[in-house]
Amino acid sequence: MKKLVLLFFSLFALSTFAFADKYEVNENEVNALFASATEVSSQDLNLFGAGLMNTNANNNLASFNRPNPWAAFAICWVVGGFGIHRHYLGTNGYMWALYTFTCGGIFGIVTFVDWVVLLIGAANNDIGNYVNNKRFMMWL
Amino acid sequence: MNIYFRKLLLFVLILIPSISFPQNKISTNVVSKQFLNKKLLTIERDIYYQTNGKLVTHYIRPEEYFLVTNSFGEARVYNPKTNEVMLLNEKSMSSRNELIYSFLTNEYHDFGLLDLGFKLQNQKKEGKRIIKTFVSQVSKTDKISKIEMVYENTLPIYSAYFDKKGLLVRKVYYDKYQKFNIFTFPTQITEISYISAKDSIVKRDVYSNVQVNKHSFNNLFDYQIPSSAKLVNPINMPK
Repeated sequence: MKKLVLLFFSLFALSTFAFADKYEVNENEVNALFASATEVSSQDLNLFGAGLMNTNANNNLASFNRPNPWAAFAICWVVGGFGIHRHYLGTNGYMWALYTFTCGGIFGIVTFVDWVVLLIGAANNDIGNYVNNKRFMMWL
Repeated sequence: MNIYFRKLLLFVLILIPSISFPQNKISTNVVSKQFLNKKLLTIERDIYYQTNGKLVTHYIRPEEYFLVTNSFGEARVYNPKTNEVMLLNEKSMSSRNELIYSFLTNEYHDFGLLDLGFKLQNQKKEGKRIIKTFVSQVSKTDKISKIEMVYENTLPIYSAYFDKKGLLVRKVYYDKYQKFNIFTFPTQITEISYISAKDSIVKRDVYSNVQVNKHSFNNLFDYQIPSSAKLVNPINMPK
């Protein structure tokens, strides 16, 4: 009987531990990741967007002089929450601040619409309306 | 006697709202770091939130800006370097979108998912945790079709976002909860977004120096944009 109780508690403790692993972040890993990175300044926001393209299969997308629709779409997908795609397309210098502000509470709806319109624009090879657009919601 | 009674009644009536609805002021510093492909973008800001809805966000890094907004989404963005101000009126700019608001008003139970068209599909208990599953009712083309939220002691500790194919695309960890006299708040939020089988983006927001009411560290709650600031209207700007 004692063994059975011991086994029960061991299993319970093990299951709790397993949940803890799944739902808790590995902080050391995240800290190490950040420590290994190169810091990007505000002047590099456009380059940051372009640099991110190197993570994708098509490395030369960002090398075009004018913004590439698929590059803009991919950047929006990747770091849309910080508005980096807007800086890639050309916009006001503070757009990152507005995007950072709005992405927290509403699950990035603005970013999501950007993503949709850029997808449509990329499919039609026409994103002219969004290049150097100074509006917060570039599709309006 | 009657006049004294009326005055007393008037005094009590004036006093009641100020007792029932005290204005709380919360200030905090937030450092957001986003990592991808060995590059790190850091955004630092101070937040000054009042329960009347006024929110002043002072962006410090990478550049200095002030963003003043209210619960209706009436926002002003001020660049002190150029002395320019831009006016915005967008619902998405509402101060209610700030995470502090969700925790102050106990909206973290669903993070407004029900308002966004999600529906609670399932709720189960795993050990000391409660797991809620929300499914999207809005559109089949939506990027996110299912969200799993895990609560411990009624507070969210983890959420996972799944796409249409059921693949995990994003997970968020809420931890380092601190208890303040009017609310409990996670001071560290870590997001991992999966962009491909090999690549992911890691973002971490660290809230520090959270101060409530009299202990707030600065007086930017009543920040006023200088009247000499040049108005820049985004609607009239050329595309």
